[in-house]
Amino acid sequence: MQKTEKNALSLLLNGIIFENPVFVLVLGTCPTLAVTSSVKGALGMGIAALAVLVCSNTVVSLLHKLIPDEVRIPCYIIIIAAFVTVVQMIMQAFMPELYALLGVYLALITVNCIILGRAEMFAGKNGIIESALDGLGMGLGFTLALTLMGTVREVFGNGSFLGMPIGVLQNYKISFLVSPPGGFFVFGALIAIVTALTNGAVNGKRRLTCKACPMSKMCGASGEGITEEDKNGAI
Amino acid sequence: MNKALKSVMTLSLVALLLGVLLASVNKLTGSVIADANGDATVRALREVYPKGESFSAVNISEYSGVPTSVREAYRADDGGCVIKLETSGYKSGLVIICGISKDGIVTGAKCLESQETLAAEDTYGAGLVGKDESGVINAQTVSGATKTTQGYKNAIKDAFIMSKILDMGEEN
Repeated sequence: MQKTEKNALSLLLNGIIFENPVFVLVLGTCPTLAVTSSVKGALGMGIAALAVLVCSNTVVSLLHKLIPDEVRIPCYIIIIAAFVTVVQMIMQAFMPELYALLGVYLALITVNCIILGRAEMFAGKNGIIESALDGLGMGLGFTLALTLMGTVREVFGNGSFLGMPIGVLQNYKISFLVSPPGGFFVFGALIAIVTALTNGAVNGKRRLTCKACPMSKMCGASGEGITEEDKNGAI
Repeated sequence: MNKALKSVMTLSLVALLLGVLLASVNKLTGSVIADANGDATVRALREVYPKGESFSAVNISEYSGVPTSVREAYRADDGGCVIKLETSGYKSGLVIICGISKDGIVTGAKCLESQETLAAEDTYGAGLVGKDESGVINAQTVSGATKTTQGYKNAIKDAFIMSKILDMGEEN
């Protein structure tokens, strides 16, 4: 029982910190740069992707034994597209302003590499509970990363938070931060900060080798290109 | 079973199951979306024409010379009008709604839909409020978003043409 709880926690923390899809794996950068000019857009995109990740991971895990290998990717895409459409319809019905704000980027969740990546590398090889937890962890990691980026850009670029003006900052806005180049700048700066802060926790002092890669546990090519040093944990 | 046949059947079955899921969600949300769209139209009309208490839709096919960009037209109770237009900016699909008072002044203009990521050009319409037709023609475009703001400006010019057509129609 204790082992299961520990595994569940590690799956959640994996997505949130150690394999954070945005700051560690550098996946899903298109919506990350496009919708983080406001906290509201970032939160909305994060929660939408989280819902799709949990649902698609669960269904892929449930069906993966029945799906022939040759058509697994088209099946995964259909599953992901269906859940994206469900999220779109629910958002259009109950949160029309957020739906309009996210625009085309909501539909583009279908081709977000985090979602297809987790379906292919994790949900297609693991049980339902583990896959749902992996989706939850990755979704939370994505949401937190987007919210952090959105907060930096909106607070310092627009002098507001969630659309509410922050008195002092209204006179010291750095408008560049809410523009597309500002998105790249904040993204790079946050990756640098997260890498510096988590260097010990994520990669330790290991050399960046195949084994040090956060994806190595799930990578189907385990062993390929791994040297004797890698096998020993490459220091 | 033939491998290819099994693949086709699996793919079809997955698509069918998800189709049922989508149909169910659509049944639940369809009416709510229709209501929300109706509310959004009324909100947009009031936003660009604040003085209007009630609006009546105009059948634009009954008028001749209507600019091709005009999609919908509404008559306000005080004689002004609101025109919904679709134009092209950097990309096509730029939908603008514009209110024009009875004396030919822009009361509001806003972008409803766009296929582009709008920044400063999203609020371009706010700068046209209070201007008459010549004021709109002489308004500056936004540097760096020239195509989009030029498209926006052209749409407002078409709204003035439509407003005149509606006025002439009433006089007749």
